[in-house]
Amino acid sequence: MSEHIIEKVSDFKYIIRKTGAMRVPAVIYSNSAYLDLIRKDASYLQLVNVATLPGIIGASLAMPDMHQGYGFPIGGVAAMDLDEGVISPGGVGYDINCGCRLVRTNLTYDEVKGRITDLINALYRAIPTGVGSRGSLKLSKKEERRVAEEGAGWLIKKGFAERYDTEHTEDGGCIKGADPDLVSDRAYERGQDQLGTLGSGNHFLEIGVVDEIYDEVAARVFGLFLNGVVIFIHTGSRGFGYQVCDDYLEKMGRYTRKAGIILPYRQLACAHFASKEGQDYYRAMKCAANYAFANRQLIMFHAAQAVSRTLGKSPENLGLRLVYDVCHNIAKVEEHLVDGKPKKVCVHRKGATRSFPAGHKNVPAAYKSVGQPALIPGDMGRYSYVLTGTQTAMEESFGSTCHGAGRVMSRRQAIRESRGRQITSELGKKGIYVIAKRYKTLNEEMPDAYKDVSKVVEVVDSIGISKKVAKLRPLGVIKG
Amino acid sequence: MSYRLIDHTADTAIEVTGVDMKSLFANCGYALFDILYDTKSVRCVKNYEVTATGAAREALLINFLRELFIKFVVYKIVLREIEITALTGDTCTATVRGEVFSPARHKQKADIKAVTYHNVKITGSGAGLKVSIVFDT
Repeated sequence: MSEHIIEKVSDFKYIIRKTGAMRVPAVIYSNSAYLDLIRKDASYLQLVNVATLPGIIGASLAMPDMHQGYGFPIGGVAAMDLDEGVISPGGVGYDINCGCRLVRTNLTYDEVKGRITDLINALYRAIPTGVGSRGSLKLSKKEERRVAEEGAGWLIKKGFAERYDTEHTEDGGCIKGADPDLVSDRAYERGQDQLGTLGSGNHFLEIGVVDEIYDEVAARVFGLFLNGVVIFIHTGSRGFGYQVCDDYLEKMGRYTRKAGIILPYRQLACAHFASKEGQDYYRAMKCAANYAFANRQLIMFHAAQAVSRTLGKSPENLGLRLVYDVCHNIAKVEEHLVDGKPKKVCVHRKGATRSFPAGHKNVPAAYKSVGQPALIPGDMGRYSYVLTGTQTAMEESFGSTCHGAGRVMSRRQAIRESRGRQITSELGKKGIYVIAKRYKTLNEEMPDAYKDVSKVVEVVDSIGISKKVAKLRPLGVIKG
Repeated sequence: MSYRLIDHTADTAIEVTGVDMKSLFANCGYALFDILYDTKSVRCVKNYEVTATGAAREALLINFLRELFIKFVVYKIVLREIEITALTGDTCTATVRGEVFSPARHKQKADIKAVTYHNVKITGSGAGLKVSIVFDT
C-alpha cells in the first residue's frame, strides 16, 4: 500500500491523488509534524479506503487531529450521494453523537479560584462518572423510546431543560425522523440507567476560564468574556449508542456481501443510503444521537445544580447558560454545493465538528451574525477552544472542522511513559485540580498522550475552515 | 493467562494464543472477562448457553465474543468458565459459568464499547494459533 504519495498542496493542505480503487482523492489538513504521525500510524490508508466507497463526493477528507480508528479514521469527513452513495456506521463511530457542550457563567476567575476544589468535588458527587457508572434516573423502555425520539426536548417535559437549551443545541437537541422501533432491546437495556452519566475514557467535565479572546464580537455574542468561568462537557450516547452501532455493523456486513460491494476492510461495512438497510441504520442512529443530546443536557442540569448549591446562588444569578452543544460523531443529510449546484448529501463526521457559517439556516438565531460555535476540547492539562464556522468550511470540507487534540500515544504507552510520575500533582502545580474514578485513567489521559490542540486549531484556523474565538484553560476536571 | 495486551492508538488490543481452535476461542473469552472485571471474585454458580454464528472463522470468533460481552453489558452476568461444546465452520456453542453481577462483590475494571473486527486475523496452524482482537474503549 506504500504506493500512496502524500503531496503538499499548500501550507496545511495535502493530497493523495486518486489511484487504484479510489473514486475520489484524499485530502488531509495537517502540518508537517502531524503528517509524520499520520504516516506512522497508517491512518492515511484508512482515509484512502474511505475514498473507495460507492457514491463518495469530492474527496475523502481528514482533519488535523486524524488518527487511526475503525473503518474510517478518527478525524475523517466523507459526503455521500443520496442515490448512489452509502451510509456507514464505521463513518459515525461506536459513540454516536459523542460531542461537546459549553456553559457560560457570570463568574470571574477571581471569584472562584479559592473554590475550585469544592466545586469539582460537588460536581463529582452529582454526576455519575467512570467505569460502569449508573444514573439516578432509571428509564422504562417506554421512556427510553421517548428520549430516542425527542432527544433533549423530552427533558423539558421532565423539568430538566428549557426551550433556551434546545435552541442552543445542534439540530435543536433532536434529529427528526428517529424511529425507536429500529433500536434493539439490547440497546435499550444498555441505555436504561446511563442517562446523565459521563462514562470513562476521554470523556470529561471541566471547569475552565476564558484565557484569551481572538474575536471580541463573536465572544460577546456567545456570552464569553476574558477571565469568565465556563463549564465544558464531553460525552456521548453511552451504551445505547455503542449497541446501535454494533447491531448495525453486523446487519450492514450482511448487506455489503449481498449487494456485492467490495470493501477493503470489514469495519467499513455500509449500505446504500437509499436502501432499507441504509435507512434503518440512519433512523436508529438518530435515536442514539437524540439519546446523547439528552445525556449532555441532563449532565448540564445536574452540574448547574451542584455549582449553584456550592456557591449558594441560583443558576440564573450565576448567569449559567448553555452556549452551544455540538456533535462530532454523526452522519447527516445536509445541503452543500456540489459542482456549483446545491445538492443534498449525507455527510459523515467521525471525529469532526460541524462548522456552519454566519447566516446559515441551521445556525441558531442568536448566532446568525457570527456563525455556529464549534467546541474543540484539548487534553486535560492544556487548552480547549471555541471556534466559529465559516464559508470556507462550506467550500472546503462540507461544513466541517476538527474535533479535538487526537491521541499520539496508545493508552498502554501512556501508562508506560507516565510510570513514576504523579499526574495529579503535575496538574496541581499548573493550577488544575483533577479527580478521577480510577487513577489509571489519569495516566492514560495524561496531556502528553495527546497532540497539542493549539497546533490542531492553528491548522483549521489558517486553512479557514473555522476561526478562533476564544481559548479556554482548565481549572478543574472530572474524569472517568 | 494466554493473552497479552498490545498497543493500539485509541483503544485496548490483545494478542491471544491457543493450542487449537476451541482453546483459542475460549482464551479470547477469558481475556475479555479479565479486561472487563476481576474474574477471581466470580463464583461459577450458574450455567448459561451461548451460541454464535459467522460466515468465516474470524467473524465467528468476533460474534462469539460479542455474545459473551452482551451477557455482561446487557444481562449483567459475570462469567469465569467457558466450555466450547461445539465448533463448526459457521457455528460456535458454549456452556459458560458464572453468576449475576453484583457491584458490591465484583469489581468492574473497564468499560468497553464493543468488540471490533479491526484487523482480526487468525494466524498459525496446529498447536500454534494466534489472533489479535481490538476492543473499542
